[in-house]
Amino acid sequence: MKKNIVSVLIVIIVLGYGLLARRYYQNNKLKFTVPKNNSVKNKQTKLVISQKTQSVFQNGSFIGQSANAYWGNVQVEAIIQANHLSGLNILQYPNSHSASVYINQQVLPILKKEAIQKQSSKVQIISGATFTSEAFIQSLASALKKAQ
Amino acid sequence: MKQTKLIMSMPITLQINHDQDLLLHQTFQRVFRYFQDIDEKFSPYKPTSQISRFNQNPVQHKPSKQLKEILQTCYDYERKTNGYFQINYNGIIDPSGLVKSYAIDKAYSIIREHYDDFYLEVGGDIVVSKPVNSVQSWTIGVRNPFELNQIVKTIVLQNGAVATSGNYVKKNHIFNPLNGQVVVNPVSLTVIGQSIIDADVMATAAFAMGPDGVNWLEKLNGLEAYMIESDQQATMTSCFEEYVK
Repeated sequence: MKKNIVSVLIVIIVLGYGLLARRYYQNNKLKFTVPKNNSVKNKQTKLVISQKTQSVFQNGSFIGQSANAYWGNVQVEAIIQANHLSGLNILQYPNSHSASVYINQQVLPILKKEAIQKQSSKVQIISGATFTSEAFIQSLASALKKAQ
Repeated sequence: MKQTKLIMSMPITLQINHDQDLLLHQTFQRVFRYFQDIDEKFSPYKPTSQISRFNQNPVQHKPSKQLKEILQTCYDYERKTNGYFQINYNGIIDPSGLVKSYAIDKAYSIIREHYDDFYLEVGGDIVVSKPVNSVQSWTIGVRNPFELNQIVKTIVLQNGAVATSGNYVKKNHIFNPLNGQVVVNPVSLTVIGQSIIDADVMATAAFAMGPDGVNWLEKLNGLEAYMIESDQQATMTSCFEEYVK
């Protein structure tokens, strides 16, 4: 069963936003959008930020609390330049649980491929495209010929 | 006991692991008779079959309860497969794509009334059964579409169904109903499922989708697939290897 990758990304982004908002939201209204092709595994997640009101952020970088995001902890670092939120680093993201590793690393399922190889093992039944009676009889006839 | 008969222009093989007695022989008879009966009723090649008469005049020849069940199941799958499984060809209704697996499914139920250690193979489509808590499994080879006397994969299954779609056997022409073209790639698509109807119909539909079919199957619950393309490369769904020896 596939996890909804988009919803997981949204959970992580919203959590990061929430952590920031808790710290800075009191006097400022921030609005930022994340480019859709952003991947959480690129730790330098870039943000497009627009601000409706004048910001009074102090310059520097601020590390948020590590928060549980169900599949693991998420921790973000906010970078403030010229009193504006200029970047968001994701310091911690779920990577221990196999499901979240799968979600983070494989946005689209990459199915295993191999070159086909003749197998020598004996089997009880054979599955194939519908073998008609005609083909069956031909095959049986050739087998019987060999058996003569 | 194991027997093969040619019915519905296909070899049908049934093996039931059990001591030979009257009930066993009767079960073999019932199963083979059932396929003969289905062939008489639903073969599009027999002018007296229900499906031929229904196509000649659907008003005069109202579908039987069984034909209604088959047609309804076909329409359900047409929806589930976004139209990649269809029974309507140029105004002619041909449910052959379902009738085979429908018959295997019913035959499976007939055998299961008395036995739980058996397999039934109809023209390359298979249902298997092993007793609960059995340590044994059935081994099923996937035919090499490039060398028909070879196998390229060994599936191990206790209970369930395996169906393969392909255009590599003469006279098979699976085409994409959405553009009317015969599918040239992939060359073989094997699907493992709980029900033979599901495995067979989904294999047919995914085959008609071309090489993307395996990605579509990956999103569906309870189905695993092994697709072979014309370059002799195979692609498998993420849990397929759980069924491989």
